[in-house]
Amino acid sequence: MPGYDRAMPRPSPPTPAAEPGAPGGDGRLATILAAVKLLEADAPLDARLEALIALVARTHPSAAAGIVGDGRRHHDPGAGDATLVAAAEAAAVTAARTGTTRRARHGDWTVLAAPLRCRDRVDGALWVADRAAEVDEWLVTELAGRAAPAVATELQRVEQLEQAEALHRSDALKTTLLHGVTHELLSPLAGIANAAEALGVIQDHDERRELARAITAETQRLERVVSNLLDLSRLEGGVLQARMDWCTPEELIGAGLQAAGAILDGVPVTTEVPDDPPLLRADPVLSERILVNLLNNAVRHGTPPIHVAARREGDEVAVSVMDDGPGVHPDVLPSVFEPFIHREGVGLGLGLPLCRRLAEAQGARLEHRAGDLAGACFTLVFPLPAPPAQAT
Amino acid sequence: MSGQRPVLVVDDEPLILRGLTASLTAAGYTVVTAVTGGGALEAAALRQPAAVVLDLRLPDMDGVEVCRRLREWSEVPVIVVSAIASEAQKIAALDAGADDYVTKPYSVGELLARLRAALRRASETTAGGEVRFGDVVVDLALGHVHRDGALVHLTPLEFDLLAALARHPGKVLTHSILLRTVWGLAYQGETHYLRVYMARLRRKLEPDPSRPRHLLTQSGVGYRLVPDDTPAG
Repeated sequence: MPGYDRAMPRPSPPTPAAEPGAPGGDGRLATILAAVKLLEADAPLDARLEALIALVARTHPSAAAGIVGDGRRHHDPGAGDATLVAAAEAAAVTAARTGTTRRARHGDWTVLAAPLRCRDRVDGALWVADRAAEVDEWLVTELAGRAAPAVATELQRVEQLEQAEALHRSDALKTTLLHGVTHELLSPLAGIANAAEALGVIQDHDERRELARAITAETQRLERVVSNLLDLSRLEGGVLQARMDWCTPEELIGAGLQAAGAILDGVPVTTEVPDDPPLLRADPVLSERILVNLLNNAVRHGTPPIHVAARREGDEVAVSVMDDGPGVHPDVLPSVFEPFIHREGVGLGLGLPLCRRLAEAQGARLEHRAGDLAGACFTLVFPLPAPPAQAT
Repeated sequence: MSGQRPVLVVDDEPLILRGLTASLTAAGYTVVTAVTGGGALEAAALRQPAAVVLDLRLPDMDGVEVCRRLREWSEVPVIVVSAIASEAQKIAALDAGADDYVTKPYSVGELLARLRAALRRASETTAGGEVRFGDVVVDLALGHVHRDGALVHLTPLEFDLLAALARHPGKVLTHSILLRTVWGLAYQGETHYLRVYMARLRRKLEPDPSRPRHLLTQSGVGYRLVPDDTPAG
């Protein structure tokens, strides 16, 4: 958004283009006409406003003028008395906030600030300060009214551009997301539909049991995809926020393994934790979700045994999930954390990008590393904070 | 089984009610159902159920409120069913008197295990008695803990924390309940005390502190002590 705060002091050179006028009569009308012409000129908003300020300053003997808007205040060092500018801008900010004309005194200066009101919005205020005479309120209000549409139009244009860009970004995101997850949703759904149809025609008791088991398994797969999608959309929408708490890495690991019990289902897992568990700050629920995803990947794409280790590394704690499988293919590695890139046949899907964002949401990070075993190793790294006061 | 007290299942989703009724009946329970909070309270009063499976999302009132009203006159075990990522709601339900929770989507096997544990807990009295898990025996009256026959030295706070959990085997106790019970009212937000003492207890009583079998973490909610034959969750 362009800054258009300007302060322009007297003296300024007289220009023949605008009729400088003492308050009243034809002088006022000439000033307003000159202002309209300036504001309609084909120039950037900043340049038009500067010209307007110069014009306004000339309408009063020994006057200074300025405009504030968009919350930013900075003025030209040549604006003369800095305390006057500060006082005038304070009045102008109040005028912009309240939408009403404000008067102020600063030494022997009189300050008048009129809001830039256009329809139902106020986008700043125009201020004029004069030492020799009262400020012409009618004229300043009128000029503010002329300047307001120019400012509002420019701001709306910028806002619309930003909105359009945001929409475009989220549209592109949704499109790639849709491509990515369609496969992951469709294949379990197809499995469920097939099994349900088969249940309608098959009589054999054992086969029917097997089909029912398949439906349950596919439903669980679907649930994981949907809950990951839900997390992702909650992260996107800012609904999901980390609830930070003191945690020990061994407890995060224990909870993750417990929650992944059905996925692990007899797969051998070894663990390794420091004897003296460090206290770290994390969201235990989000960490559990990350570990379940990593364990699920290790079971589906790796080879047992799975090793889960928490190690202190300087002022960090690293929690790693590693397996003894083929590891992540070097071609795929650069994109494993990239959101929503669908890898045909690899099927890592949403898990890792989501995990990385769940890690970042709690001030941690997720990395791929060379592990102790041959296969993949994904590491969740937490910063170690200063320990809290201990219970005795 | 006409003399058996039923299990009350409360859910406003007809398909879920139908499925649960079938599964629970197959497992040998008698089932009564309600689709609203008001209906649940009425059925609990009329049918005197042995346990309640209560979905927290109901059309007429908050499930947490149903828990609270039920607890005003009944000690019936309550297992609440809550949506994913709603730890605050689970905590509210547990603090209002619920015994346990399952998170949607859950498997029927998981619910049946919780139900069995809750029913067994309700029929046992542990106050002042002994609680056993793994090779550990906790004598609540004498304040002694033995592991594999040998006396385990616990500090007073370690024992208080273990005893708080052992008095309600299987039941989920929230962080704030545990902190209040063991350390006192002023310590409700100080979860790091719990983390540190839990780590110490597990080192003294669990074979592998990173894979506890009895002193279990309920992430973001609290802890529970699980005796041997209750499946973890």
